[in-house]
Amino acid sequence: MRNYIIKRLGMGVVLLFCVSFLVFSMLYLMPGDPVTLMAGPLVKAENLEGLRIEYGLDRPLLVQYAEWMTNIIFHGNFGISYKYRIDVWSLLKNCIPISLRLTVTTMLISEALAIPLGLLCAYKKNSLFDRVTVNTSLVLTAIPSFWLAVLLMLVFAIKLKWLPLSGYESWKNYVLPITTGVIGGLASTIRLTKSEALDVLCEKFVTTAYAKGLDNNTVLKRHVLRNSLIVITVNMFMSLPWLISGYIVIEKIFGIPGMGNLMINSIIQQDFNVVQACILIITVLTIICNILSDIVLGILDPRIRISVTGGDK
Amino acid sequence: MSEELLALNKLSVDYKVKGGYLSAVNNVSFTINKGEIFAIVGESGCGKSTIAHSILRLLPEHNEIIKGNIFFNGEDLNEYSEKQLERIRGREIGMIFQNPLDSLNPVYTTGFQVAEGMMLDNISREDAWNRVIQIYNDVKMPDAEKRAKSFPHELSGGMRQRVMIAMMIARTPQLLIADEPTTALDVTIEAQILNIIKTLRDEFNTAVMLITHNFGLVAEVADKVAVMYAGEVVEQGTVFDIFDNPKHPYTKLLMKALPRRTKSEGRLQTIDGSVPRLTEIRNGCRFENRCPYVMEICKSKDPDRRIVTESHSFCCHLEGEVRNNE
Amino acid sequence: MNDSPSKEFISSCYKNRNFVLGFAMVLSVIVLAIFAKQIAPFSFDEAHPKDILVSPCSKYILGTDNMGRDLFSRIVYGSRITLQVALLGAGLQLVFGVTIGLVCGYFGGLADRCLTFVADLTWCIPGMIMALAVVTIIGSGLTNAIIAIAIVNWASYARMVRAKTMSIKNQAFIETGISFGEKSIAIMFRYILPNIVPILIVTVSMQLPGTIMSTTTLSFLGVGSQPPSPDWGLMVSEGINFISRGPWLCIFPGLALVYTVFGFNILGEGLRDLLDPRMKSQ
Repeated sequence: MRNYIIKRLGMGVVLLFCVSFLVFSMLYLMPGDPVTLMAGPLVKAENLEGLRIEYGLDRPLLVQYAEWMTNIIFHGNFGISYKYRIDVWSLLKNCIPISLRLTVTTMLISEALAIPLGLLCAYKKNSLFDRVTVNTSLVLTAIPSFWLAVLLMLVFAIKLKWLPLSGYESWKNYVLPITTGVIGGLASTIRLTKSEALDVLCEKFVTTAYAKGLDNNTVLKRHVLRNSLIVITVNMFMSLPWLISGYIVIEKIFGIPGMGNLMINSIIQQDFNVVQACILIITVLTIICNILSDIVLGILDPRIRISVTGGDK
Repeated sequence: MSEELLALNKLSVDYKVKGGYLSAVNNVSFTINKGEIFAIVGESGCGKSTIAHSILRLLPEHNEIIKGNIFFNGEDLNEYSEKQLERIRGREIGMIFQNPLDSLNPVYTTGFQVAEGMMLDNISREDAWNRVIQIYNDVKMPDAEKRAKSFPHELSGGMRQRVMIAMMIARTPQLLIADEPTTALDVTIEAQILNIIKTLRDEFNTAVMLITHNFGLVAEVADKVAVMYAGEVVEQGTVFDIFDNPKHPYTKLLMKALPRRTKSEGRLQTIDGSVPRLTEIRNGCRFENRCPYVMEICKSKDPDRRIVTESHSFCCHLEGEVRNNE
Repeated sequence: MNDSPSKEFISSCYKNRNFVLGFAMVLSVIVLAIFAKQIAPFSFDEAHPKDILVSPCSKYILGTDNMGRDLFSRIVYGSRITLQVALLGAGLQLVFGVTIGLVCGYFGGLADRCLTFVADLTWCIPGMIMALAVVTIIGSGLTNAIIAIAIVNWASYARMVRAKTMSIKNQAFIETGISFGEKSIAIMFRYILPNIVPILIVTVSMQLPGTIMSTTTLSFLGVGSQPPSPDWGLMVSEGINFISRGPWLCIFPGLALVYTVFGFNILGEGLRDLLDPRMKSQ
């Protein structure tokens, strides 16, 4: 088990450097001169050379990358926002907790609803309940989150006036964003849970469990649920970063000052250091979640602990 | 002579399929006595596994219709409720499956899975665990204590099948159904597993219903044999009846298809054609399309059961004319 | 004898409710796009300064927006953009994914390992984030948004094609082809590709709704289609500013989008059931 975790961590670090290099070189993949892009249209052409040296852009790419990474790792220094003229980190440090709190809450509520629903659908396959749930989730997958958010706003904030339209002071502000997020993730989790539970129900060891004389409830709980939870839990960890990226839209609509909102505004205003920092943080989070899910998989599935090749699924 | 344990009476199993029914088992009757090893032989897909699974109502899809009676100690299991059957499963009738890896849950230790059934009899966890070790020794599991704490994937195929057997004999059932117990195993392991099954019968007087396509195995351990073809029992009798005096053309062909020790026979005999798919109900013998002795009557009328001796019977329109040396 | 399998296939198409319904829904969108000029009463950018934010009435079936443009006409013209996204997006993803997958699966070796590594890398970056990063690099606009989504999605095609190619390339008929002296390219495109077409169709139809949805989301975020384009995502985002005075501006374009995506969705499900019986059992 320890070797397994170490191997996973090692791969994570390698991935981290690859991805961070990719994110860093973004600026250089762009058409046009990075200095012009950074400085904006107001800076005169004769001052650009000075800025280039000031920003250290005249040096080789790898040197710049090394410096950028050292600054981030040892000083938490992501550079300066060209638009706000302040430290990027001081912008981010207020946004990250807001986004994280939202996504984690959403994930927990979503899983708590979707797993029982999915399991019920699998146990009562082809029943009325199953068909209603499956068809509803089929419709839900066709609804983009931005439209769902607008609809919820229309009904609950404008027509019924139960909840505020936007803002971030009281808990009431978070009801609609979280509802949007939960509904958005519900359908896929229900489907995954159902198909996984159905797969397990077809396994021969379930027949064995019945043959042993166990009653239906025990078989479902001890053998079917326990085994389907492996994939479901792993998926839960994997879905966290995707939720964060999904929250870009929701944060923008409801005016929540989270990372997503910051990122999309920075993209439109071409504030590259901020965009870079946001992408880097979300990718790092994704890699951490991947490693975590691999470790959880190892804990839940004894087969993985032996053969370190897991993580294919 | 001996006490009757399981008696199937005109058992038929139909699967609901798209556009009708598929007759998997048709009108099967036989009796297994206490302490007897009863073998069911036939090609794959002939319905032998279906019989085994329908006795304990373990057919996976739950889209089957079981007709007829399954008398176990005089009571019809087919009439039992699900709750009543739960008390039979594992306790009165154990069942061993073909592939011992698929049949064990990968996330629990083998010991727990064996103990799980025992704990239904209100035995404490420690007692159950001690008994697991004891049974592991009975089934000649090497290193019993360690193996009880191992997960299924850490064991070899033979050891997994031992776990499976241990699981099913843990509550000393009166009948053990073994569905192709050695098909997935090496020949050397096969002999060991068969020995365990035989010992079980000798020590606990457990009856065994052995399902296989391997005649060699039958000759080695079985007391009685039923030969199945396309969902029907075409011939049944003691091992000596079947091997020394086969009556049904299908049995005869099977006997010829067996590899012999002598080399003089040349090529192995094969049976041409394949088992018909039984979607439509029809009259006539089901072996008609492959039978070398087919007659007009075979295509229109079901053959009657003919009795040779008290223990030996077969279903065919031919009687006596065909000799073994044909 | 020859036409019976295809006849059987067509009759099973009729019987598949998902396929029929999905096909009808998608077809209706296609008709809308082709005959937009005939169906829409106005042009998509024709402003009526006197009729600003008119609620749905007989002249403007779905109302007008803040510039007095007829919403219904805009939605009808918007179907063209959505289908353009679907066609172009799927096409780009296919060309990239299939070519790379075929080459990697057929030749293996270094190229193959690079592909696997890059595909693994893309797994580490959530799709939306990567698309936004690409848009940041190449700039906003509908075409760029489509390219961005293609860059995000090609890897799943490549993986699938690669796996299929690897399993097919060892079969006897490929060796026959090689022994006839066929060139590698011919073998890849004439021998292997036809064998993966069915599963490719299924994959495309399953990916299409997602492609439409993500591209529209980019437009909604302001980095896809730019005004005055009648892109449904952009229209919802513009409508939010008038959400209390003109809720129809948000509702109807979104509804059109849901209708289209849902149509593609169940068309995909139907196609999967028809073409890939192995996945049906689920």
